[in-house]
Amino acid sequence: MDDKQLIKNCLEGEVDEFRKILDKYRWKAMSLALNILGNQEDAEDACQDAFINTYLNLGKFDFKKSFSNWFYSILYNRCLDYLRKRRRFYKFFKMAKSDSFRSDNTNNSNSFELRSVIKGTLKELSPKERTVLFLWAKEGYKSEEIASVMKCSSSTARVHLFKARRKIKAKLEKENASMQGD
Amino acid sequence: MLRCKAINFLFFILPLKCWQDFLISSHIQKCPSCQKKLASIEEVKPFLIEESEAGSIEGVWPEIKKKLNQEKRKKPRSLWFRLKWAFGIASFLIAAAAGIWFYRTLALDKTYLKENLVERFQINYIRIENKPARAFLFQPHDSEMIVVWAEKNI
Repeated sequence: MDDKQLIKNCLEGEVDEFRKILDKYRWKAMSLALNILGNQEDAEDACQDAFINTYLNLGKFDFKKSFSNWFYSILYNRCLDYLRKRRRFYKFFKMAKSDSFRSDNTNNSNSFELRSVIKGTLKELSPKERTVLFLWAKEGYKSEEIASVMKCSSSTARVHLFKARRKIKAKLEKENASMQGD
Repeated sequence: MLRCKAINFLFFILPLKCWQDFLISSHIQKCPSCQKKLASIEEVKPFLIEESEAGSIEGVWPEIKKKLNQEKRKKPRSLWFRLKWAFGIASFLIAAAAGIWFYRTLALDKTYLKENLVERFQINYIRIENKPARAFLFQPHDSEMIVVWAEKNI
């Protein structure tokens, strides 16, 4: 069943119909949220909020447009909200000079955070670059579709993608050079 | 190669998205040497967190369902509601436009009256003790008052 039919059923039917949409997008949603946030708990919360927002606003969905673009757009905005919250949170604790908390917090970081630190690349990219990269590499989106998700112009999306690809390539070349050096 | 370096320099010297996009579409997308400096999809994929690596959010469905049951779905506004708003806003705009027009017309009329006050004020002659007198007209600055001063001809 395609997305639009699912939405129609959902608009007419019960809450349980929405589960089909959730089942279809939950993996991709988690993957995008994790790539942007780099933290399992925040990603789960952002996904949950995004799904709830999607359901509550289903009536506003434009059936002429793609559902996945619309959903990713909601999720992307939720992730940005979480990043802003986190920035405020760290700012507060920096001000309080709570070193013990920071060390605890880093010790408790989950495998995804460690993994991305080990890879050392995702964290070097900005959230916008990570989003662009995910939509381009995983979803096969063109710059126009990326722009509709991120609510920016396609030229801006192209520039973000270009910068992200260049950073990844530079990182790969650096790794190769260091491996050859060893 | 020199051209590529110049383009890269220009790319960083002016961080305007439209300018950078122009450089990308005019040169970087077409130049094989510049393309080599960009990671391909295959090179990018390993850096991203896979769907299989992402933890499942299956467990959150009961929680989502609970929240969805609590919060009612926002219904799209009815046509009547939208028409009512459109009519209200249109009426307000028309009233505002009429008010501005009326105010401007009145203000213009006032200025016209003020500017032509002396020209329209006319005294043919003044007589003092049955003899023609000398007459002077004054209009104080920023005032609509006109002072008539008459002197006896000696």
